[in-house]
Amino acid sequence: MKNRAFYTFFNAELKLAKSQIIAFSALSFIIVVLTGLLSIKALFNSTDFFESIGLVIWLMIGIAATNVAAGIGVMDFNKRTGLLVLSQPVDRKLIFLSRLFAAFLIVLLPITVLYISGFGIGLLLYKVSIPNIFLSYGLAVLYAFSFTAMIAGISAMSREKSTPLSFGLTFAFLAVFVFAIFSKFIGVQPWFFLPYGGLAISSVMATPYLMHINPGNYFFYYIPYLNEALLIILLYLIIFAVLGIFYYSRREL
Amino acid sequence: MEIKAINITKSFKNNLALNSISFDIKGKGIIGYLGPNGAGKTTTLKILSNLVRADYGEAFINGINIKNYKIALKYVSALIDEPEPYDEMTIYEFLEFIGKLREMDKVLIEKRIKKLVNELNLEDINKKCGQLSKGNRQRVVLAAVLLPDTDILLLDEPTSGLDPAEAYDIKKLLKKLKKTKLIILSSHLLNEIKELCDYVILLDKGKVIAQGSVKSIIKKFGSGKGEKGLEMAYINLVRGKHEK
Repeated sequence: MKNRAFYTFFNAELKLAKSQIIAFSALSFIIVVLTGLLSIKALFNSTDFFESIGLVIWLMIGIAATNVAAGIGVMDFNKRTGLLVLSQPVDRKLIFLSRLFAAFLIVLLPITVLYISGFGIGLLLYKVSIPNIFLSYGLAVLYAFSFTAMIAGISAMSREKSTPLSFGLTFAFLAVFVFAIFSKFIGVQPWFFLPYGGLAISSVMATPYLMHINPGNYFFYYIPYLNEALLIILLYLIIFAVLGIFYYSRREL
Repeated sequence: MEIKAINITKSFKNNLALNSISFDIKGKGIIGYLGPNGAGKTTTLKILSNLVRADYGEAFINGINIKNYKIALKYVSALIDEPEPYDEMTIYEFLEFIGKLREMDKVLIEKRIKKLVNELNLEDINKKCGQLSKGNRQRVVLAAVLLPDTDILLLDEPTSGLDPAEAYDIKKLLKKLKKTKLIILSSHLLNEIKELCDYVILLDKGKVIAQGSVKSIIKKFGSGKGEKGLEMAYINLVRGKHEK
């Protein structure tokens, strides 16, 4: 019976996000095609191309997860829908988790489109497959889940959807600056920062082995080792999923 | 069928919304829950439907503590503070969604939706909720509340936002439902209370200031008969004249 309530919320979330799924998937395909065109124009080698695709995936996960998950913890509290939905005999933890899993699945589709189209265009241009494709995809899946959980957790603590939305987008877009500041000026790896863990997605795609420092064009930045990346991603996932469940279960209307 | 509140207290920041209220309602019928704005009516109903937690005290639905809301709320359906359906869902999808949350099977959901469409004059059930007028949305929400056919209903101003004809239909339906259900009806409309309720609980500044049958309240605190008598009783009670 618990499963039924779980799937009811899960399916409802997927239905409500139908247009977002289509938009992000289409956008993902277009971005990979544009990256391919840029690679031809800029005479990229395959390593440059796949590293770029990896960074696109890394950025797209942040943007998509933020958009999809920002409403999870707040939608029924700042609108009047919760007055009816949350007075049903359904475990609040279950509602939060079903929406979190649905959001994760919604984010997963554009990521898969990015990998398939990146793989296809890579083959077409360079006659080689994405290096470490399964390892990178696995990391991307985990990173997407963790980013989604982080935004959903912040959403459960926020009064308005705009708070997790602006937090997530700032987190995704300003990550590069955080890397630059910590690497160049402080000389410290930003191990406390989720997008730092996510950088492993592109680094395993670009090289057969992991670099720890990327010289970059304008500034060098650290890249996490695989075990570091996994630890950061899993810690964020666990901490924010627990915080999200706690706050969502205790929120009042 | 029983709703019991024991010394429920609730504060929002420094504002005491409910000050140790207690009542015990049993059986069938409509109980009027009356009081001025800010008296604590909606807060009580929110506590009884687990939308808000009491700071102190206990609430029971059919003997089950509301802290165990996953079981207690199976007996209750609540319409509180003008809820909204999901704009993106059609009327049918929204009602089906609520039915599934209530663990109703598909056949029963279909049967109940058909019945409620007739009773509440719902328009095209394939229309998106976001496209409905305020009155129609209110009827969709009421349909969602009535869909699971629970023994207990908590209704906070159910005719608010409806035109006189729509309000008449709802009152007619409530008269029918009171024969088999226990309903708490919170309302400002004394004519509605007089017409529908057998018993009233009067609340002011977070405290129960009077409770009893409509007739006994009028006799004790009011003057005149019918709606006028209830109006005078209400005014005397909330202005504290009964204490003199």
